[in-house]
Amino acid sequence: MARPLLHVGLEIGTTKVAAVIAETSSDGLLRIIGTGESPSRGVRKGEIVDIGKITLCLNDALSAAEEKADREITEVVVAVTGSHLDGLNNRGGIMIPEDRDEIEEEDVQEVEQSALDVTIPSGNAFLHTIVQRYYVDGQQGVASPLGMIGRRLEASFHIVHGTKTRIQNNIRCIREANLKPNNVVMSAVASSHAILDQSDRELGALVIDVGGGTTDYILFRDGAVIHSGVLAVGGDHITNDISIGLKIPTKWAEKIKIEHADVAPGSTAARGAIEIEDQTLAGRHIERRILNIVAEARVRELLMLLKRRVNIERHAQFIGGGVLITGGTAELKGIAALASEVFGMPARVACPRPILGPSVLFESPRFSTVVGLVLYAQAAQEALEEISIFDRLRSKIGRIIPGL
Amino acid sequence: MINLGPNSSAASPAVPVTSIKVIGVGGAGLALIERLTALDLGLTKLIASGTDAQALLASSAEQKIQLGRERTKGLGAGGDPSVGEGAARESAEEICSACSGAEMVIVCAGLGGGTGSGAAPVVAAEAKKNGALVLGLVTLPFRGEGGKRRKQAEVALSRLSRPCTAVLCFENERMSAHGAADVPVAEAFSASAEVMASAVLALVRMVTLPAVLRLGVDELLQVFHGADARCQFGHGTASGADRVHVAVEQALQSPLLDSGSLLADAESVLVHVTGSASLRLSEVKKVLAQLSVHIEDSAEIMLGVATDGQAGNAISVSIMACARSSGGLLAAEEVEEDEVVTTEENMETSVENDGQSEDKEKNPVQTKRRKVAVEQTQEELPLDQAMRGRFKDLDPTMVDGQDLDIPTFIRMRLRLK
Repeated sequence: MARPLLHVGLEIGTTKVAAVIAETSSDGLLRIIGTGESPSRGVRKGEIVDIGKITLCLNDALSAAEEKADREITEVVVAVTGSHLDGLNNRGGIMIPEDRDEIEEEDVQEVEQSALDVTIPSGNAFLHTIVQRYYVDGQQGVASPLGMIGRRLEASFHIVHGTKTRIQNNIRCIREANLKPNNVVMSAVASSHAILDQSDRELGALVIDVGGGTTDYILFRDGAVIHSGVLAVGGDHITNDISIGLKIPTKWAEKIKIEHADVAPGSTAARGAIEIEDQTLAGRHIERRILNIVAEARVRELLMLLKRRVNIERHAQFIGGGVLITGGTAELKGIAALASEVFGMPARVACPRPILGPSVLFESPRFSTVVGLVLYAQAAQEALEEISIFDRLRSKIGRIIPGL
Repeated sequence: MINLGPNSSAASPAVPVTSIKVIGVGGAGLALIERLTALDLGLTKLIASGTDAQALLASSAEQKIQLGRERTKGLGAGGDPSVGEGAARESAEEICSACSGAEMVIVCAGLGGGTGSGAAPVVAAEAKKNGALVLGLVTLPFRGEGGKRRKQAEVALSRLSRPCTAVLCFENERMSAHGAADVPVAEAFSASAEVMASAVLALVRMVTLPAVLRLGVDELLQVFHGADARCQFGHGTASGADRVHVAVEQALQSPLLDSGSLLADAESVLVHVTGSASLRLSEVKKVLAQLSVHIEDSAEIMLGVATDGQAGNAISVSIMACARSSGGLLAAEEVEEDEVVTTEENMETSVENDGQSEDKEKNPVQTKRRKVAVEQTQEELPLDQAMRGRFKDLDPTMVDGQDLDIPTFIRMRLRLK
């Protein structure tokens, strides 16, 4: 390999903008060499509402990362979220041409195309087509059909789509920062790359990434994605509830949420009070019990909604890895215990799997998406090299998102 | 206010379409009948009755009864209930035969005047002679109409409740209070007739349309049982992709429901959903989910679902509720809580609130701004907007008919005590 490949992940979140620069060294290992973070402005519920403001934040985060890495970057992989994103499962099938019987790369692409023949809302574009399973002449469980002998190739896919204009907003921001968008990845897909390795995916797991404005989720069963989506409810909602319920300003509600709120089952019986050390609110006492009632109600509702959306009862016995909670709001006290109760299976807070780089990234659930982005980019790169159709990804993205 | 008559146990589960008769008594009754003729009520018979011959002549009802031909000479009752009563007694036989063959008779009148107050109880009694189930649907006069009419209305109401199985009582005051404060008189009265007309329509549909989930008349009566307050009614119809949401929203926007906030005080709520054969269970669930935000957990909800072959793609939602007498205090408390938050959270909302309540004598620029703000909030469910806090300017996160931006503890009605 001539020179190390750079992968840059960029997450434009409701709360923060985070950038990570990673390098694939000659030994093939991915190493994170620079990080940058900036508070986010101009993003609501995961969607960009003010391109001018967010571009400034984006520049802050990226230049901080560039400085630490001592590299100049030109391309980034960006995460996209928002309740407009939706996932569906579909199956496609094609006949192998008569003149040969070995399955080739073009057949694999063609079967993917045939699966995209589904109705999605007008104005929506496909974001991901993730293969679940191949079938050759009806035979199930084929990992890779390339080179196999068969007459009919079928495949089931998990397809993620979203509103074209909203996805394009993310791309526009990157352009505003004079960078080239290399790929656009659903946040949940990115986070799952950071948290789960192949064996975790085989075991089955539900990854819930609770951010500031949205909650992104993705369900793996037998190694395949079978559910994904975004709910426009996040940590900001907990803060808002606390602010309204306790009649305190948002700033204080946020602080109290982080320092004191506990949503574990039974926390609503907590005793004692919290004193606010603020001059204007001096002497205010917040009862822990009430704080916990407000926060627990919101988080329980959120988890119940997700439980219904992914139809967990149907998949429970295939989800050996349990529920993994990540994202900034995963730092909320008691959230794993509550998730365990709601889903009726083991649940824990998950941080990115450690790779080479600053350890701070792997000690907090806050950076799952952005770390996942560089891992996703690396995996996509390897896949490209493997099938040696270099333009595949680019042409695919060009087709999916006009103007890229 | 609903008063159950002594025969309240009489109930019939299903009423054939042909056997409902709606009889309007007096000026307000006629106005209502006039509106009903414009609506599609199926085979329901509309009867106009009154003492004023000229008004009767102008009515387009298929059947008309002039009350007290001899006594009033077609000149009206002159605001005297005893004249109205006498007139009705004179024409008792005619009323009785007009109501014959009906399973259910809805007597509609505006109470407070001469004919409505005096004749309606007599008409109801005659209708009952044939063994029909009699339902009263009346309005109480505006407060501005004076103490005398109010008093007459109350006397009439208590007399009417005797022959009637149930009386649904609408307050004119409330129906107009939520429009602009200064509407022309004619508009105010016409608005009240409009609400009454949609109530009749909804009632008729409830008991006549082929029902998937039938609301028996007995259940209907139970909603109003023992309640000692105003009756609330809302109705909405919508079609298209978002039809459930729009229809419910429309129903909640009805003046009597005050954007749904009055539902919070309801003891029992009757929800009736009508749609074509394409109506889905999930849609009915959505209706309930959307309403449950506004309804107290302890309230009894009665659900009726009917299919209407002519509904096309439209779905219509009717809500009837009876408030509990002590409800007023409770609602006031909640509003106060919200206001505290808005003043701390953002100044704009609190400005809007001020503008609605008091001191309009500030500089003209500010007053103008307030006016605009008030208009906006009225369209966008003012209460809900305040409860959304920092999300108030964003697209709501709607899931299963619930706005998830509103704090969970408010939607679940958790008490923070």
